[in-house]
Amino acid sequence: MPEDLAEIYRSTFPALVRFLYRKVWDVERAEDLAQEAFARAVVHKPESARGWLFVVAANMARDDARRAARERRHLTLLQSDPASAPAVDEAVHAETERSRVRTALERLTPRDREVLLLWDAGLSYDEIATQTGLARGAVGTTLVRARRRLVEAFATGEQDEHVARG
Amino acid sequence: MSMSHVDDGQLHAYLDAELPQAEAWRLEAHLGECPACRGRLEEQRALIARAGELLALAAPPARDVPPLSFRPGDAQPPPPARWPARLPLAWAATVVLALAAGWYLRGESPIAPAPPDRRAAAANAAAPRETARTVPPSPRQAPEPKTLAQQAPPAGRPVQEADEAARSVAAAQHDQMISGSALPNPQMTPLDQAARAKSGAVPPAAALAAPAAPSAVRWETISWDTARAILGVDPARIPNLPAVAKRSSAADRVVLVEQQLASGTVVRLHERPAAEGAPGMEVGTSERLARYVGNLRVEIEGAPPPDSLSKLLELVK
Repeated sequence: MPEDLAEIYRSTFPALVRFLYRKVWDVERAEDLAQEAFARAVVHKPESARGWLFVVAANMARDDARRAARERRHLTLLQSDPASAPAVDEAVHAETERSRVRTALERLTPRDREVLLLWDAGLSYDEIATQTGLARGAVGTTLVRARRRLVEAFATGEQDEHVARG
Repeated sequence: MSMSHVDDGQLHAYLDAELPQAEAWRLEAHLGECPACRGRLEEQRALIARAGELLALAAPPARDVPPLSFRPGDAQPPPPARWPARLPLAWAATVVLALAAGWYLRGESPIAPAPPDRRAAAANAAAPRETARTVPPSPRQAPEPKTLAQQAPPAGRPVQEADEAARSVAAAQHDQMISGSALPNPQMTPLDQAARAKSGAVPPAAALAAPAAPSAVRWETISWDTARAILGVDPARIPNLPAVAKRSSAADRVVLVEQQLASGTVVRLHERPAAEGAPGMEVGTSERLARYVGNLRVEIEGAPPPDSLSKLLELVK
């Protein structure tokens, strides 16, 4: 069991970070949360550790987002953000793309988004079904909807920006 | 849509290689004779690819997997760079605690019918101050991770090589900890805890032996009677394990007890008469670890075997 967990750690950690990143949008925070999820797995020794990790990680990310939102509200009261320094074009572009995808992901329903992110993190339909409570047959259908909405929302976001720029 | 057509959910499951084999064959059979569904298959394939591209745009930057840097019970993971030192230290602690436990049993040992002596009292005085499983990092080691962190990029991530080295150690350590905590024998638990307290109570001055030039001291084997004469009491040792007593010269009042474990690991116990305090540092190899328990200086040489913890506890018992 411990060896299993060590092996799961090596094989699952990057996927867990990717999964968490799409929730907290901060890679260091995502890594911290992933490590904490593993720390809890060491204590609780869940039977199917991989799926369990993603559930625990998702819960932690949700708590983290609430806390971050509280802090942000607090910060905006204290200081106004000065104009950010100009960065390298490429980095700006990548950041723009990332935030577009982020916006698009936020247009999905929580369930669709969860299933899509779990799939992208490498979980199988069976694992996704177990973790979300969906019937296995519904996972494919959910993924169809999630993927379609993501692609459409992204395209819509791009159009809106073009319109806004004139 | 006729009954034989496939829905998009099935197409996605098929393209995700998640459709059960029998269903996949049925679907392929249908695709073979239905151009409309073949067209939809390609549409869905493109959709899946596009969604994957978008998700990849929102992927975190690729980074190395940090070592498994926590222990059971940790609420917050400690800095990863602390790992490299932990395995040997934790193992040293194990031996130290085996010895400490051995002292309690000395009274019943055939070669040591003496009443509890000052050392035992000292061991008692070193009461549980900390119950952590692992020995706290010694002052010598603490600055090292910091140095690494200072050299690291501003993000403050641990240096890659350190990670690399730590990963295997961390995995091994992790496994060892679990096996240690899952000892089936309930009698082990109080012993383990008593010993843990002992190891935690080792003064911070107890440090790793510095890597130095090979020893120039020649140790000659002496009899147990001679050793007893030097120390005034029986030399400390791990019970039920072959042991050899040695000294460096007739003038030196340090007794060295060497004990070899089945694994090839050598445990060396340096002891002086209680009134004269703990023996000083001896020059040794870099693999050698040393810690102090009361007046006793304990060195361990060689790689610890994986089952060392339970084996040692058995020996002590």
